[in-house]
Amino acid sequence: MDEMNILEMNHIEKIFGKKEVLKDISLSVNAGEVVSIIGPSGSGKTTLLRIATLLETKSGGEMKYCGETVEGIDSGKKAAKFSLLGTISMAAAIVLIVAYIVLWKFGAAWGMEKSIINTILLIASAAALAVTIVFAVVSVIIRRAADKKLSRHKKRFSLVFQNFNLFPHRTVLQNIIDAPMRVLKEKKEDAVKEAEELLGKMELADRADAYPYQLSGGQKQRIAIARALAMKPEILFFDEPTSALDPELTKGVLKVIRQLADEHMTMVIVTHEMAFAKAVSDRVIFMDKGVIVEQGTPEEVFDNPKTERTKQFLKTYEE
Amino acid sequence: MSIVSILEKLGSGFLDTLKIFGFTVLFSIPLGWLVYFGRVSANKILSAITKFYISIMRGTPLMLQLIIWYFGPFYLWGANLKGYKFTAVIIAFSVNYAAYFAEIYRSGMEAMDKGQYEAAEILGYSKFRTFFHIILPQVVRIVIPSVGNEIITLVKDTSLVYSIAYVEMFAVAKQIAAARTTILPLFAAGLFYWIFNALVAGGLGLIEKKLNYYR
Repeated sequence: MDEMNILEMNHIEKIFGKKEVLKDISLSVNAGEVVSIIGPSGSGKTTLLRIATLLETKSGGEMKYCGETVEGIDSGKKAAKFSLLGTISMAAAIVLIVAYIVLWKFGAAWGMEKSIINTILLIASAAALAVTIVFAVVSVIIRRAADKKLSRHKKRFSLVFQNFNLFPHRTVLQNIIDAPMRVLKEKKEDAVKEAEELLGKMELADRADAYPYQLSGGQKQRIAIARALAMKPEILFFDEPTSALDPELTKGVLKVIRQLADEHMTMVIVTHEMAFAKAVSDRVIFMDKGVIVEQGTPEEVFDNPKTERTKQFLKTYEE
Repeated sequence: MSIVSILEKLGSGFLDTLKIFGFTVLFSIPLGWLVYFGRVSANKILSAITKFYISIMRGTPLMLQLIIWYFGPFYLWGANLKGYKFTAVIIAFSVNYAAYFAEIYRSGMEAMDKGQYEAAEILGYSKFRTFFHIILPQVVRIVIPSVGNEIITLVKDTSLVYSIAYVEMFAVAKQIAAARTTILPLFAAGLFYWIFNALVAGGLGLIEKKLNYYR
């Protein structure tokens, strides 16, 4: 069972300033599973997704992709400490150099002979400069090492954004093939072939050379899904994929996601489309105020909600 | 003195104007990015120094800066200034315009949608690639009108070099006007600036149009 596990989050916490937006969240997603996260706005759904996709750091807890603990997210703090030390020694170096120049230029006028102090100042400023450089290098090395550790995990997932975030200065095809070519080092003809297949699947084969501004919102979102799929992720996250779309445009996007579910793509979907969540998910998670209130099969959560809060929330969607 | 010979003299002076303009554009546009990155650096000291630098560059007259760059080495160290004039002009103009460009770049960078960075990050792009392939092409399009404005100002600002007796078109025009007591060369100089700026504006317009292939 263990190798089937794609994502595991244990006791995740997130604090923004003084506000605790996620409290002790644990969830796990197995290969081929489709998990929907529902809940009112401000419940922490999107933050949870952003932590899972490493766009946001967590304040506590543990996260695993494919059984491997994700390390290095918090090493940014360590690197920041070193850059702070670097800043301090840089300040020291500047003060020392200024002192040295002043003494060198005006020392004689103030009746101070060229003395041992000059030499000490010179050596001290050189030392401070050297220390600054060392700290800068160390913080860069720490960041690099952390990035390297994280990049293995980053290849395992992709994310589809609420507002698509296509690159507006690139054509549809370029949007899709660039990352496979540059990041996965695929050959151009392979990347193009895959992109064309994906575009066919999205029913947008004829839009390969269009620019994003020439597409409707629904088309843009389908291109964004194709771009994410081109990276061959093991798990695909959706952050309210239809919330920025007109109702008549959501259909095409939901159809594509449903098709992916049929192909057993592992997916975590934050959504407000209740009927869709019910139809497509293996498991539904209801979140409110930073905690998981209830989770279970769609039938359990939608048809027989256990908690009063869930019933109340679902009721708002009934009208 | 005939109009033709006035124009000939101004024309050869205009080559010096062009030289100042060309070198300043060449150096200040990339230098502006360096200043920008200093300005937004997480290193507080670096960003404070850069902020101070920008405030000096924008807060004091370019003519004063020009004079300091040229005569400074002499007053401070008694240096020999022979053959240094053109270098001083280029340094003064480049570091001054870089400060303005840095602020223009900053406004352009701030106008960028955060989602572009996030999409690049999710796709696994390096910071380098994200900047040069995703962010920069879009920022260039945003800032080109403001950069164009600065460039047009620069064309006119080149005349400030007369303050350190560097001879270019404007200095030539003043000389002829004073020697012959005629206003004609001054009008002609104005015409040169105006026509050249019209060309620059036209060129910028073309670039702008070209960059507008999306949206």
